[in-house]
Amino acid sequence: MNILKRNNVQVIGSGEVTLMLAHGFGCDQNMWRFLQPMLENRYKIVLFDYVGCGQSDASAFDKQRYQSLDGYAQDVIEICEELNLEHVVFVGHSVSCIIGSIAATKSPDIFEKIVMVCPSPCFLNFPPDYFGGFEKDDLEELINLMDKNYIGWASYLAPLVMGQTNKSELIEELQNSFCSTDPRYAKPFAKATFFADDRETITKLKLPTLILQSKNDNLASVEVGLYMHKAIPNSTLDVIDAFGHCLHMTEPGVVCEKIEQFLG
Amino acid sequence: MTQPSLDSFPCLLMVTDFETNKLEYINRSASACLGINTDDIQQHSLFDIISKASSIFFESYVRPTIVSTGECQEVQLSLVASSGEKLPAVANIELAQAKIYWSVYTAVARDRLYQELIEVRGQLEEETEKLVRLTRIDPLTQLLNRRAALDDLNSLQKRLQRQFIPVSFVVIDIDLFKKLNDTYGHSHGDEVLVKVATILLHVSRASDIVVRWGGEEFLVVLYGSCVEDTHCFCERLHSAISSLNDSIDGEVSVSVGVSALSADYSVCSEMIDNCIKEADAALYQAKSNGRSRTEYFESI
Repeated sequence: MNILKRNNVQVIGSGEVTLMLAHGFGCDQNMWRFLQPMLENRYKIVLFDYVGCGQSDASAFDKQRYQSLDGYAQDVIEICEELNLEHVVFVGHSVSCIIGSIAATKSPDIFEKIVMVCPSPCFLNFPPDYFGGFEKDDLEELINLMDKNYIGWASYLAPLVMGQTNKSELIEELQNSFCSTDPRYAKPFAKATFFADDRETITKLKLPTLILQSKNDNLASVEVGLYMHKAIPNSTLDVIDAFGHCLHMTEPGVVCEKIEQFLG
Repeated sequence: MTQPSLDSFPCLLMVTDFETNKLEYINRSASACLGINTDDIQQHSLFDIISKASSIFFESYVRPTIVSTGECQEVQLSLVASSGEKLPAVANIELAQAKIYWSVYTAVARDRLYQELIEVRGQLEEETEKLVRLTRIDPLTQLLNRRAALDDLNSLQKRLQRQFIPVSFVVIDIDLFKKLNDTYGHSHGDEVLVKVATILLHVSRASDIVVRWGGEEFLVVLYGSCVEDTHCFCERLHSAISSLNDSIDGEVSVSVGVSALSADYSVCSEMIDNCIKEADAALYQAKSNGRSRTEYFESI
């Protein structure tokens, strides 16, 4: 198994410090294309797609492995091991912040610092202690909505109709559109992401951690950011006065500046 | 014909602000469908008129897509009217000068059709799983059949080539099975096969591969098992088989041949075939040495 091919790993730049940029749910490494040019002159950048996302090798998708975030964390660890990386600064967006936390807890020697862009340890509400923002019904509707969208985008039924997967054709079709993901892999990722409860996991994170939260984020509120900050012992919270859940795409300059300050 | 107004179109037309998500324009259809007065739109945000599930989908898929490509086509969302009623809809979305332009069509019938497709797909997947199971399982003993085992061994070989883990191959043969069959009849023979299979499942772990290898011969692949673990497994197996004799006619015993995969094998593509051949040779030795015993290839 060629791990670099499996996860479509790209290594750019040649700085002494390695930044590993990990995309969130619904997208792939393309998400970083606004931030990447601002960082690549000073840092070595490692980009990758989780198995089942972007241009990863979908044949490596293992239903059991990827039914929880642990499987995705294993991807991260294996990429670092393959590249012999040490002192890695892991920069994750959304669910990848949690994936990075799991990886750093499992293999603490690989990582040095973590930057979290719009993280949430749990999307579900558990009143009165925790409000992730969503009820179980909302998240079940999301999974159903994803199914319906993918049917609309036509690629989903093709393997069933043809009786087998015609991977090369499908992949070519998917390559043509930004962030398109095969639903057979996106749905398990959605389930692993949105039904996870990693409030306990983040308390075990010992690394210096920067939490960048958006002031107006419908998916991960400022309150969720405050919760993360309280739960992670060695963390700093920075609430960015911006809108939306993708700060690294909409505010790449600010995110770059914050990362550079954090890394000194 | 005079220039038609946007209010004349039977679809929902809307403009929202890219940053703040505030509603900036809705046409008459949108106003009627959502129950929002066009004079009050400033008080509403996009997230007031789509479901929470749709808002996750918007943030994690639609927004990154329109930032990168400027548009997103045929997105199915749930609209939420001021009455709280949800309405399936399909939207084409474009980003231009920090404003998001929406043309939205209600899609009740399409949603129903898609729901049916999802259910049919679910049934097909379930049926496929059942069929796959049928092709992999030996109907008498409920163990994996030889074909399924070969598939699983192939995957195991790939895993081992990536990272070596100690694995033992144990070939088990019921002693004098033909005599049991001839003396007590085939249904008795079948009963013995089922009981031995049940014991094998009982003494192995979920991570092991347990196979009816053919006739009265079984294969157990002990995953992550060192020499001592394999030794304990064989002892437990012989002991469980001998306790069978309290409840069954005739004397039942098994001969066992074992071969352990050594780390040197991990580079060889035929390593599993070789190991099974070695376990077979050890089994032959066990038979020659008087049956009802285990022999290890490494010791013969």
